[in-house]
Amino acid sequence: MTSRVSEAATEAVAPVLSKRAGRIRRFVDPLVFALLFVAAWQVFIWITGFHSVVLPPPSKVWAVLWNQGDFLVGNMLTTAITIAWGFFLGGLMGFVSGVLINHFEGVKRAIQPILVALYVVPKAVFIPLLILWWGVGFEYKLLVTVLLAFFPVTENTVTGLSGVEREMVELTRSLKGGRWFGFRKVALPFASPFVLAGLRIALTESFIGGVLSEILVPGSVGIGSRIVEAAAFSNTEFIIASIMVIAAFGIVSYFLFLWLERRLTFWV
Amino acid sequence: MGIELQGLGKIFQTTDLTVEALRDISVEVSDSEFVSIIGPSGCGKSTLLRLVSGLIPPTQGSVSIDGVPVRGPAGNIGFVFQAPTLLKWRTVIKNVMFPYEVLASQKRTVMSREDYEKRADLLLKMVGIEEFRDAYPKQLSGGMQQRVSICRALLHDPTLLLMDEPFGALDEFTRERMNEELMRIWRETRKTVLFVTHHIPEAVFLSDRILVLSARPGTLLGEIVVDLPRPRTPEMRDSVAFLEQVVITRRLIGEADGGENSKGSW
Repeated sequence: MTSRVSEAATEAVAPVLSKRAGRIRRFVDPLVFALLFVAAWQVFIWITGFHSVVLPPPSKVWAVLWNQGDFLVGNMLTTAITIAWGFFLGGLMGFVSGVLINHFEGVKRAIQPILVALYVVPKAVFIPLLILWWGVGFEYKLLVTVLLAFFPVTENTVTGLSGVEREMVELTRSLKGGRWFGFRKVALPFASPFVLAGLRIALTESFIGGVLSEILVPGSVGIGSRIVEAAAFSNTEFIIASIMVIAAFGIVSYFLFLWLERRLTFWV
Repeated sequence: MGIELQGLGKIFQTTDLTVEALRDISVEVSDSEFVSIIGPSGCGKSTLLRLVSGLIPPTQGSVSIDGVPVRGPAGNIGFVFQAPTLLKWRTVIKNVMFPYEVLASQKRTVMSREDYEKRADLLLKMVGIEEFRDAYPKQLSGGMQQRVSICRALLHDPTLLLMDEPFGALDEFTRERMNEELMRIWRETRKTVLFVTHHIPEAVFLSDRILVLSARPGTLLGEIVVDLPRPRTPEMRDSVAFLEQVVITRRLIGEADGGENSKGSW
């Protein structure tokens, strides 16, 4: 059956692209577009004659990446630790609270207003408070990241778990299956595509949290702090190079997660 | 397995709404009997099955199975819903094996895993989809999915099979084929079957007896003992005797509507 479906799919595409050519183009197309973009950037500077403090040419940015790449990546790795922990803890807490909200009507009634309040208030307003309490070290950055990663996971977990059909619950109950069994074997797998989608959003939110918390504290560790410092010296090419490093980390982790997500929820 | 319903009634109550679904239903179903329940939409047919299975408690009267009052699910019932309700992340065989896993989680199995799996394969063969054993539900048509769900309902060899409009979502041709298949399964396994439907020819074709329920609150309006020989064959559908039974049933249902909704779903 699977092979029949994929055969049909290949047949439809075959006249246009072979499978291998398709795989190559998946990498070639974005690369070609990126090169065109860089070329347009250079041409734009030639035409407008912008000063390199306003918009440096690609060559200057490349020079920063080439000469200070280790430094940039080193700082990014420090930031990545905050991002990873924030993502992990925020995701875990989000999942657990989603489960509790869904399973206990009392918990839902009690904490939902607070959660909604936290959700609608822009997370950045908590930053001064967190700095006041925790200083500008790792704890503060971690808390900002956790705060951002938490909500999408909670929300998606509740959405997923509450979508379990009545019949699926009745099926388990009619066989005298317990609640824990039903949760593990029915509700959790059913909700997992939603939970994973929530985690994917939480991953991008974690990048925001990790970098944003550093940008507010120059002189600290991490790539965000390096960016504010560079801004103070009008080192525009350094800022752009840093953004590229963050973007590279973001792209790699996002697609890794997407790949994992597709493998785990193959039936969707 | 014999079922006895005595003065059974169910009222659903929420904070702002009270709905009387069933009122004073008294019926006896004997062992290995095939009984259909028919009636207008929303007459509490599904509620009746849920009461018999112990999934919900009655507000009046009682249900007993083999003389034992039902208080909650007993685990020896096979349930087939209108939607196949398959677990999409499991292969066909893993779906059919689901009841085994529930039983195993409470050490209530009566055979080894291998024996259950053999039985699952046998059931899949009986409904003619053994080659889809390792396929996933989304690769199957609606009719095939419902067959899987019937196999799942039979895995743990329940003595009572509850079917809630199992073929309601299928097209007419598939429905007739599934009816014939169900008759064959029933002949081979001799389960007591309670079958909810609102399709009159289907009820006539399958049943020993048809119970007709009125519109809400569902009360028992009458019953028809289907006067057709067994085994039922596809050719029978065109016989005068079959059509007579359909007409008799339809008349009784017409009374169920009280003429009020006669332009409705019939």
